[in-house]
Amino acid sequence: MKNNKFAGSFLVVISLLLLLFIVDPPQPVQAARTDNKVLLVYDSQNNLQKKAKNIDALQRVLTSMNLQIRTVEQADYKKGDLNSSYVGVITMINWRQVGLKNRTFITDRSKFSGIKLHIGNNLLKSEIEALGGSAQDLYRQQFILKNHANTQTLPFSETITVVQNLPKSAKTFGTLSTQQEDQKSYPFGVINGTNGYLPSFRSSGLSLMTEIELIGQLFSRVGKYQPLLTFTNVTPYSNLEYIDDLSLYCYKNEIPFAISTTSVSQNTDLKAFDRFTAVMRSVENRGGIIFLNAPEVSNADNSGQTLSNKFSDYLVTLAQHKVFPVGVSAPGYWNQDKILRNNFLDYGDHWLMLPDPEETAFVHQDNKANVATESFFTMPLSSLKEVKKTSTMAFAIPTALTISMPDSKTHVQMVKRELSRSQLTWYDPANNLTTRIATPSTLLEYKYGNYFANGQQEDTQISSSLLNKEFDDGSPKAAMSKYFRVQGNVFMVFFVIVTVVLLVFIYLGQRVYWNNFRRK
Amino acid sequence: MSKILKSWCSKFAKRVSPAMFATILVAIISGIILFIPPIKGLGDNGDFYNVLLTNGLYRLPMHYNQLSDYVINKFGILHYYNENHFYTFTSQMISVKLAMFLNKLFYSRTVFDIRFMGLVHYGFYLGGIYLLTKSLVHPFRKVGSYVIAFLVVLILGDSAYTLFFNSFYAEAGMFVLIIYIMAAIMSLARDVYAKNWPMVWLFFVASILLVTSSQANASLTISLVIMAIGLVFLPGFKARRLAVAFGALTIFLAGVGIYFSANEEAVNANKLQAFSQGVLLENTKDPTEDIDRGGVDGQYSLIRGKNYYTDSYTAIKPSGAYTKKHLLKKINVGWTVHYYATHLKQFNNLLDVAATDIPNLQMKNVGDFSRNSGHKPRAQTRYFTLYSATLGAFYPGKYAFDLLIMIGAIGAYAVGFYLDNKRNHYYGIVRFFLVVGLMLALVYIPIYAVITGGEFNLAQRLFMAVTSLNLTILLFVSDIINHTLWHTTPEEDDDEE
Repeated sequence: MKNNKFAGSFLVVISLLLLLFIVDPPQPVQAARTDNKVLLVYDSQNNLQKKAKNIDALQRVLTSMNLQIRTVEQADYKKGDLNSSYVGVITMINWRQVGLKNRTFITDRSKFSGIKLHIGNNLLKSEIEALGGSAQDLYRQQFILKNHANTQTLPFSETITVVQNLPKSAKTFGTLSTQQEDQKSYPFGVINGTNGYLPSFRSSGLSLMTEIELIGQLFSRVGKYQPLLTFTNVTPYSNLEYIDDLSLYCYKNEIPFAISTTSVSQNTDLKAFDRFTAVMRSVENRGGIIFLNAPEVSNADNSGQTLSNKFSDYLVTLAQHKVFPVGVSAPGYWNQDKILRNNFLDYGDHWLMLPDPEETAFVHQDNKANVATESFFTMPLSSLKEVKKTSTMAFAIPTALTISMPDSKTHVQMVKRELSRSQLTWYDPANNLTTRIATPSTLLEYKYGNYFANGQQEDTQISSSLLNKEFDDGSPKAAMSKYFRVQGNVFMVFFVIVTVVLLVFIYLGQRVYWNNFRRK
Repeated sequence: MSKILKSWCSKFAKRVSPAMFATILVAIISGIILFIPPIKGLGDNGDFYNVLLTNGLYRLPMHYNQLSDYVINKFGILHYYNENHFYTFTSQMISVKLAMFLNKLFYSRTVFDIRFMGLVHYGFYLGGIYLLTKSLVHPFRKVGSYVIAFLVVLILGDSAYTLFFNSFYAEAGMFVLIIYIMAAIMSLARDVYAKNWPMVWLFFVASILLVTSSQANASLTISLVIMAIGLVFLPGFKARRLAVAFGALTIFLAGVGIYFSANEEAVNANKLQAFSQGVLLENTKDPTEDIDRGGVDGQYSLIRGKNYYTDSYTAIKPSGAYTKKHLLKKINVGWTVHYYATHLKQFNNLLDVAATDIPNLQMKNVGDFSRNSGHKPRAQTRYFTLYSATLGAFYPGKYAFDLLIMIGAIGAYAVGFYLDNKRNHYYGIVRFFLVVGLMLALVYIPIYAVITGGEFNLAQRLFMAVTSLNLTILLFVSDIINHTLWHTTPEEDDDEE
């Protein structure tokens, strides 16, 4: 018995030691915080009204607040899922007619002592009591949202529940006013202690900014961030002239910016890739930073190996051409997918989370979002049309205002005009940012405008002719192909001669044959 | 001894005709791989999707998702209304529907067994083999006739062909139909039957079904119309020119119809692959600037070698709006032809690649066995593949060789054409047009395949080219054995007639 015990503990020690050697050198793991877990429970995705995009936006907002969000549809909620490991719970109602039905969740939530936020209709009595006011349903109205001297006309709403007669301890965010003559106004968002309420969720404009403000206050994650100008939808297939033109414009007008681009893992020996990387280098030299964007997913195999190999290939080939991404960007759903998150997002410590496309392509959805050191929430610059863009404007969370890479010359001009009109003070990475991307083989770092690859500082101001020399793979291939070409031609000539001779023989043979008959 | 042998042989010949001999042999040889478990067939390279969708079938859920590794034996039959039943409309639907009918009658209303597909193909195939062998040996029952019958078995009974039967590939039907087409023409040429009209009908019906069995077969129109010209020379066939012209026109219209019936998605997939795996390949220099000059953004050279559907992670979505606007809308067949016309050397290289694929009849990228058979993924059977393996080993991979074969074969049969034309016989003439049709297919299908789809799945898209070659070889050898290559009516038979 004693021996066995000794052997057992010895084995444990040995395996621990082995583990130390086997496990990859530790990557920059976010400090394991215990106060950043949030549970999001929603009633339904309501695909008819496309509310899934609201879930996506909310998830990205929370990720940018460094809150680790776990999402559950109410039908999948099981007793005890909401426990004390969470700092807060968010209930999101996307479909009034469905609403909260899961009794287990309602009981668990009422017992829960952390932060509670309700978004949407169907406020329960207990929730109203917790907020400390009285609720009123307003039907078929169009409201104007006002907040910080900005206004936004909200689309027509069937039913909206507002909370009034609040105690003094409650804090309100924005006001909703009717368009009728008497102009009644109601508070939009409400916080009372650890309870919060938002009557609706919209993924753009002033309402989104108000929502972010409230959620930030509720979870005490309010910061002051200048927006990062980001050009999205760039690929190696994009029109390089337009990218070059816009980056030059930004450089001349001293606008720091970022580009979110995909890359290719094959055909990097082609001139097309040289041209693409040359433009990306000039982006780097003009004060731009590059986020490596997630590739399109189709026909995905279930192993993450393919994706992580691709990621390494992207990094290595780009780095060879002196293009150094500072972070990764991806649609929101990549953070809700085990394979996509582990084999792409987690390599970078700075994320740029883009809105979900119309169709998502999950590989292995687990709804257990991770967080990064910093992740930028993105919204289109154009979605802030009604919001006054002053030079002091700041956002509560790290935010990137995006412009989709224009597709024609007139669009380029329009983008330039839009930029010149905006008064915003843009976030300057060269003054603020340090990032790293680490794969088992490559480490890329960005520190205040300087690039480091595997610890060595890199110069991005290298001409493409020099690069081409660096990566030229010589000429023996050409010599061999010449040999085969010559050989092929020799064969051709040979065959043609044989055919001609054959034809002559056939002709002669025919004549001999016929002559035989004639003599008979 | 030899007397006994001779009498035994003559008895055998009396009881079993060469055609029956060939039919029985292929029935046994192919019956074994198709129906006796563990059955063999072909895995799915992605082609099944459309066929299943159109015919109200679906894949039964499986844990194993590599469809191409193994033969899938069972499919589900949809019970509710199938909204996609005209997604693609091809003549292949007839054989699938027939197989489903038999399946429902004898096996199950919910589960489809792939062997019923095999059974339908098998039945028509045996009939075709009988008719073809009969037309090739008529009117003899000599030793040579049995040699020809055996050649028919060796070439057309090859497993590379018969494996297609247990699958949803259109190639199975195409193979059976071309056998009927050749049998019909040779029967007409050699006066096998007293009346001509059944075989004329057979030819046109089979031709139309062949052309419409898949979108890519539109190109076969040319060959079939040329074969039809030969029928004009048949005797005793009233108003024959008009009828044949009408038939040829119908084939042509069927070809045009099927070509334009392709859905947009399939057209885009072909366009993209014709570009990524054709225009961008086999170019000795960097294609970037060549593409620029062609009016397409040179950055698209980065798509070199990519597939439309099957790549897991791509920098850009091949079916996305950006690709459509900047690539797919700019390239079409005309653009591709113009590109190749200005890059002849590259085109020649591509045709040489196609030539190396000509003898690859057996589909190498999908498995032949079912998953429980204990074989490795994508394992290939070697059962009765002597002919296809030999062809694969010795056929040279140069397009110029295809051209030479065409010139050689047409030249050889032109003699018979010339002589019969002089003597007012029609055998050599009808046969000549058959050979011209088959040989043109050998030469233009590679061109068509490269222009419309590049190197993507090239071996499979050359199926009709190699089948034409095999049929010509069969015809050639049988003519040598029958002594009918140049003189279509051998002296010794003149007295009989």
